[in-house]
Amino acid sequence: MSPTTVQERAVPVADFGDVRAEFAGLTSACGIYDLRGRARLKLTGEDRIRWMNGVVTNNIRDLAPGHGVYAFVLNPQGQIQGDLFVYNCGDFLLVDTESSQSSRLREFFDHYIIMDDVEVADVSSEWAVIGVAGPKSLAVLQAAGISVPALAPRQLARVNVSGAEATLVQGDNPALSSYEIWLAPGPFASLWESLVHAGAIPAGTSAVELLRIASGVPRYGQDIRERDLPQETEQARALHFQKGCYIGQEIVERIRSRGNVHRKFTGFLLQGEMPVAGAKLQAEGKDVGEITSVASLPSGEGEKAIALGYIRREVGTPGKGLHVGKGQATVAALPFAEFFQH
Amino acid sequence: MTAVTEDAPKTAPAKGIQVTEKALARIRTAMAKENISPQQGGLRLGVQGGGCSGLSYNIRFDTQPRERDRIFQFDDVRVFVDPKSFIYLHGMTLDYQETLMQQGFVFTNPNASKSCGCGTSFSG
Repeated sequence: MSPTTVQERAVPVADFGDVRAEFAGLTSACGIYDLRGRARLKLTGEDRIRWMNGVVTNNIRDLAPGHGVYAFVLNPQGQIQGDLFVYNCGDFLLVDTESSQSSRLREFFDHYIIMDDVEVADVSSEWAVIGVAGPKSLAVLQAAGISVPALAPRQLARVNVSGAEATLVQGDNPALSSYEIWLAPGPFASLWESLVHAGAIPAGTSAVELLRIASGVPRYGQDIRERDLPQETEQARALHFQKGCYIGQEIVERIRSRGNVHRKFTGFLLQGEMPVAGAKLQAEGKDVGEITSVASLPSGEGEKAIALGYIRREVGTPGKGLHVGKGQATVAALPFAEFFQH
Repeated sequence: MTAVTEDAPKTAPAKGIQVTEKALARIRTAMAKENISPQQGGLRLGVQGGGCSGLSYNIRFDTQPRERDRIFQFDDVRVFVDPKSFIYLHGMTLDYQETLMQQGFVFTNPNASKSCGCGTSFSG
């Protein structure tokens, strides 16, 4: 097996031998990665749209067929129970989430499907998904014979990939161009090969994780925990304020009407000793925040250590110097621009 | 007050659901207005998931019961409750309130741990 061949299994590999080269492929050229490990739930039934609109934080009521949104699921106390993408696929809604969240979300859904006509089915094994990211994504897709229409973030398009029907999704990575290709598991390997042939660099989960941190995208369970308030996560893309009632809305609205939260999710540039997730950030000897994700990455100016985490707003201005353990941290805006070509 | 369960006589303790005479009178009037036949149709009571407190009451007319519904008969008025909603609704009373401030159906639910100000939303 060549190092660029994707394995015939649903668990994506950690790397293809060189995480840094894979990360460079993603940020400066075009990287592809295996998203078969994610979970997909299909929701059918007449009440699916009204029901889902009452359960997640984003607007499903006005979500046109062929479009998707990012959203949180909250409990009645406003605590974040999970995050997901919801796509309106016409005859059904498709929920895409991390597989680690799948069973918990299903239980949550089952609890709240009572008199409504909504059926949930796990269709994870019916889809194989390839992620595509990098400034040369469009060129690589075109070189692989895929005609790419102009799409909005999280918009879907039917495309033909080497004779097979597939769905192309425009990604919403704030730092670079990204796509997903959804197709049946059968043609997965041949599409992978043809993308590699067209110039794509295969990336494992380690490089994709570095890309996530450099892009400033929080991960549920790590950067977004139950105790974090929805507005503290700085994910305005997950919230909608005119969509009507949903679980936990009272808390989200109360926070909005009072003006602000005390903490916010942001980036940090690190120097000196690398902290671990959970490390406390300090200013003038007082705890003012915490680290949730760390990474060490190659940049145009050499190796850089960066982190994601939460900081109190009054000291959260980019450029503000802080202490973390024996090292230093400087507040930085997200995404970390230095890792991306513009 | 009328208390009836599926297979118990009218005087049985409130294991099912209860509908007050005042509520029954309003249901009869509304059913006639909506042309719902009391023989085939009935009032559907249920619980919807979602909304501010997570769960909310739903009340509407249905032209016929669904296969797995529990059917409660209060004289000439039939009430349909789907099996999953019944878990939340058993023991509840449906009343009709008419005050200067508001008028409408009121749910008294011993299973609700927290009720919302709007009166139709609750936590299980």
